[in-house]
Amino acid sequence: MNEPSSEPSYPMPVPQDAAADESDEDFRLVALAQKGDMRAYDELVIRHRGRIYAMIRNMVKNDADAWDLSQDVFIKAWQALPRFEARARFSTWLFRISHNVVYDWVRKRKIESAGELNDEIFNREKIDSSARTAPAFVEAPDDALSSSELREKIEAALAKLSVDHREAVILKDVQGLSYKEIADVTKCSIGTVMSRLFYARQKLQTLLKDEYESR
Amino acid sequence: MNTNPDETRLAQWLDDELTGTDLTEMDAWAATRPEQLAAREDLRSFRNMMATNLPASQEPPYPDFFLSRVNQGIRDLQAAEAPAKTATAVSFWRSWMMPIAACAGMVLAFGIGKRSSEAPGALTVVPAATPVVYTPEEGVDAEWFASAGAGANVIVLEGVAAIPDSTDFSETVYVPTISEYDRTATREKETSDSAQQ
Repeated sequence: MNEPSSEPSYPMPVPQDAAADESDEDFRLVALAQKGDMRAYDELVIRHRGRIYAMIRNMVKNDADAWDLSQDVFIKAWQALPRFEARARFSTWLFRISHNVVYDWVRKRKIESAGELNDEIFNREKIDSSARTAPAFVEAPDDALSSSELREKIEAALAKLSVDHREAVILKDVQGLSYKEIADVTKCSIGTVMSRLFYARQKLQTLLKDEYESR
Repeated sequence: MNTNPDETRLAQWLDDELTGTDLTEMDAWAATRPEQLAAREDLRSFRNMMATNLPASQEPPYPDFFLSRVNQGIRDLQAAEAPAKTATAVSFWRSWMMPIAACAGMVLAFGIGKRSSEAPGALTVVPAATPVVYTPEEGVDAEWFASAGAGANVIVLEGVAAIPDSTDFSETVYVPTISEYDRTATREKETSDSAQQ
């Protein structure tokens, strides 16, 4: 077995010094925006819209909805800006607003789709493996072609997780937030974050077994 | 580090969150535990796969339009808040100032009523006022005579310069045409014309 290095090989989010500089610049812009400077707020939107859009897109799996919801995040953030205290990073605060916006959207969709056919019941994972009437599964040629992309496979696997588990993985493994920051964003304990991450990663590793082991 | 770390610290070490002395201690603890080192490598491999395939940042489509939509949303929000503030001011007026104004009005009405009841003697009858005729020109006197029996009102002007015979009154006075004076005239004229044909 090779000696594992202490330094991680995957791309780290941002070096600490750079992150501190970015936070300082965010706080400066926030202070200006709190006084009503719209240009400063525009600058904040430009700096953070990429991460917010990427996070929401991974959560809702729809470009148009992600586009609209990301705008809602920045409008709500403007509304709540007078109450922002620099106790957390501005980006963490935005992720927290994103969490509320996405969960409201999910709740609303559940209410709107009440009584409609729930296509999750057709997931093969939900069918008892010993069932005599389990349908045969042959991947459609188009699906087989598109699923050649690893990203699409990961996205499809993420879609099979619960919203809580999906959010924990995205915030940790894609956005690089710490346990403490995820707990702040999702308003739960560090223990809950650890538990969600453990089960989410376990399920993803099972779903992506072939790709994961070939690496 | 001789004792086992707690669950949180172990998870933070596995996820490469520890720094400084915390990291040094945990590395020393894990040095003799290959299963922990392997678990950390496994997790790093998983995170690497996620981080390289799912972007942490992705510009939204039409970023300029995105920004202008955010600005428009904020303007709509501010516009919606402005009437709410006015409504708050009105409700303040209604809740506090209107009762006070009503009380003041009642006191004033009571005071006027009391003063009029204390007034000596009966009410005096004011004679009907004679109309005053104003003339726009200096040096002109006007008198007004009314005769109920004759059903006539006469105004006499003294001091007005004589009106020359050349004055064309049709230029100074609007004279309505027959049709304007009597709307049935045109139709009657048309009817009589058609009868002649």
